[in-house]
Amino acid sequence: MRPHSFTHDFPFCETFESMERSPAGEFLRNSRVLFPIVESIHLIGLALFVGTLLLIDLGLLGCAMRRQPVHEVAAALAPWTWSGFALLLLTGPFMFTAQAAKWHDNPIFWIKMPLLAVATVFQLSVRRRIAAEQPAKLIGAISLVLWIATGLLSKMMEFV
Amino acid sequence: MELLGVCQWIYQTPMSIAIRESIWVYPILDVLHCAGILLVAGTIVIVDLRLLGCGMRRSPVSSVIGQVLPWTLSGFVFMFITGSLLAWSEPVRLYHSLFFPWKLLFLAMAGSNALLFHYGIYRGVAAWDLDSLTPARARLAGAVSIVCWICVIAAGRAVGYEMT
Repeated sequence: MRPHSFTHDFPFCETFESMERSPAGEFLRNSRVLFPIVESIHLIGLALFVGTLLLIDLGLLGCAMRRQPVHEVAAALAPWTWSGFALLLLTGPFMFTAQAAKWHDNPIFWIKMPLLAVATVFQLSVRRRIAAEQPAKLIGAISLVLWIATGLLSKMMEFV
Repeated sequence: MELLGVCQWIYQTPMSIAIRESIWVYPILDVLHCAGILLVAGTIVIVDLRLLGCGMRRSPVSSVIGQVLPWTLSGFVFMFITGSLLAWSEPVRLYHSLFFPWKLLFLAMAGSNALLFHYGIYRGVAAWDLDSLTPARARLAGAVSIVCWICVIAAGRAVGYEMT
């Protein structure tokens, strides 16, 4: 018997189901307080990540932090950007596990996750190198669009 | 009129019904509200970390605040408008909510803390603008701000999980 009836034929049906049924998934789903707490930590990580990232991207675009070179701002904020990212990576999979089958059935989930991967790779490769050198508007704009889209899709997932 | 009466009156206004019963308006407002709070909390935390001596230590305090504040304030306006509309659509549920008053309380504390800082110790910023270790009152303001915003986010998230 499946806990969730699938309407979309995405890959990994069985894997996602077994994740949801795992002890960690059961525990998180059945606790009234744990899920909201984990989600709050996820949001605080997101605030830290997005807030610092946004200022650097806006700096690259020449819209904010104009009084300092972008690479200085980026270097000063980097530890906090990555702490925020660490909080997101620690809490995200837990939230996912609790409702894996539901997310499996959610088309927006399948748009968000590849986008997250693209944004992360972009962040670690192209953007990191540029931020250390010259302000580059295109890089800042791409980074902004990628992360804003990832964030908005995450919230939209709840409503689909 | 009692507060509950006011909430019940808001609940039956056409705008409240329209937001509540729409398919798209409520989710879109919710998404924008989240984006607004991330903008506020994410940018204010940079100022708080500078005050605490944990980040951007080589930049003058007034320079960090001057550059970050426009983004924090625009985020706040955004968050306030979308938040008011969301609250307008379900006032009776929020009246009975356990966490919503706490959220408002922490929000008010964060606001008064910021005002106290801005019109208090910050007036003499010229004397400690370049210090990596700011005066105790400025560090206190930074710490209170971080704690308040964490509480606002956590209480706000908890409101979403309360079922009546």
